[in-house]
Amino acid sequence: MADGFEQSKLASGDKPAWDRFVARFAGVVQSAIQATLRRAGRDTGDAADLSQDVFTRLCRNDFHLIRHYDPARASVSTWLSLVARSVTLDALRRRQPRTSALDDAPEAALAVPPNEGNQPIRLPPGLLSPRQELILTMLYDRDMDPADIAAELHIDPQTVRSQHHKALTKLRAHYGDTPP
Amino acid sequence: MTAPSDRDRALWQRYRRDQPALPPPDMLDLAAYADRRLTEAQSDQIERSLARDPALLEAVLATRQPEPAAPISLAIIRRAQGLVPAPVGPRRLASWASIAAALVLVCVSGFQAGYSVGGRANDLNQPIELASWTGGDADGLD
Repeated sequence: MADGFEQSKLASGDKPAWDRFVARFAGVVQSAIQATLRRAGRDTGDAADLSQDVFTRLCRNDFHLIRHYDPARASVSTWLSLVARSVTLDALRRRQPRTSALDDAPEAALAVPPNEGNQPIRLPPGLLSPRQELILTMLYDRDMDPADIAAELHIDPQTVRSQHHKALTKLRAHYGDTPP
Repeated sequence: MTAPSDRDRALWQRYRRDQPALPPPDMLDLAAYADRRLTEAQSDQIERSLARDPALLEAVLATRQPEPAAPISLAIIRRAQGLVPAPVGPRRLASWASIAAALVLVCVSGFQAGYSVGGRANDLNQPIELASWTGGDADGLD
C-alpha cells in the first residue's frame, strides 16, 4: 500500500477504501485543478465540478485507471495530479470557442500564406531528437532560461546550449537557411 | 547564450508547423517521467510528446513543483465519495432477512387469527337445529 493508496481494495469497488481515498487525496486533486485554472487565466469557481469529474474518471470502466496504476513507476500524488490536470485541460479545450468573429481576427491571421508548392509535409525522421525538440520548445515557446531548462532536464546548462546550436544548424540545413 | 533571434524563432515555428500530430502519451508514463523514473530511451517518446503539446509540458513542469493541498469542503468530499455505492454487505443482508422473517411471521399470525375468527363466524351462519335446544321433539312445546 503506497502512500495510503489501497489499490486492490479500490479496484474491487470497496466503499470504505474509496471513502478513505477521496478524503486523503481530494486536496491534491483540488490543488492541481485550481493551479491549472489559474495558469489558464480562468476562474477557479468550477474547481468543485472538475474535482467530481476527476473522481468520476477514476471510477470509469470498472476503475480502469486505478487498476493500471503502478506504484513502482510513479508516486500516487504525481499520477493523481496529472490526471487532475489532464481532466482540467480537456474541459478547458472543450469550452474554447471554435469560431470567432471575422472582425476580431488580426489582419495577419487572415493573410493567405505564400504558395509553398502544396507539397505534403515531409520532415526527415529524426531531423531533431526528442530532447532537441523539447529544448527548443522550452527556449522559444516558454522563454525559459537555459539554466532552468538544465535543471528540469537534469543536464548541464552547457548541454542545453550545445543542443540548441546543433538543432538550429539542422533546421537551417533542412530549410535552406544560412546562419546570420 | 544570446537571446534567440527572430530568424531562429521563424525556423522553429516552421518546423513546428510541419510536425505531424502525436497521440497523447499514457498517463502513467507521463507520471513516471515527471517523477524522473524513466530511462533515457523511455523518456524520448514522452519528450517528443511534451515538445508538441505545450499544455502537457506545462502540466508536467507544474507537477514537479507541487503546491500544498488545497483546503477542500466536506460537500465536495461527500459528493465524490457517493460515486461508489455502499455494498449490500452480510450485516445489511442479515437485517433484511430479519425484517423479512418478521413480515412472514406477522402474515402467518394474521392469517391464522383471521381464519379462526372467520371460522367461528361461519359457524354462526349455520341453521340452528331447534330440536337440539329443546332436547327432543319441537312439537312438544305445544
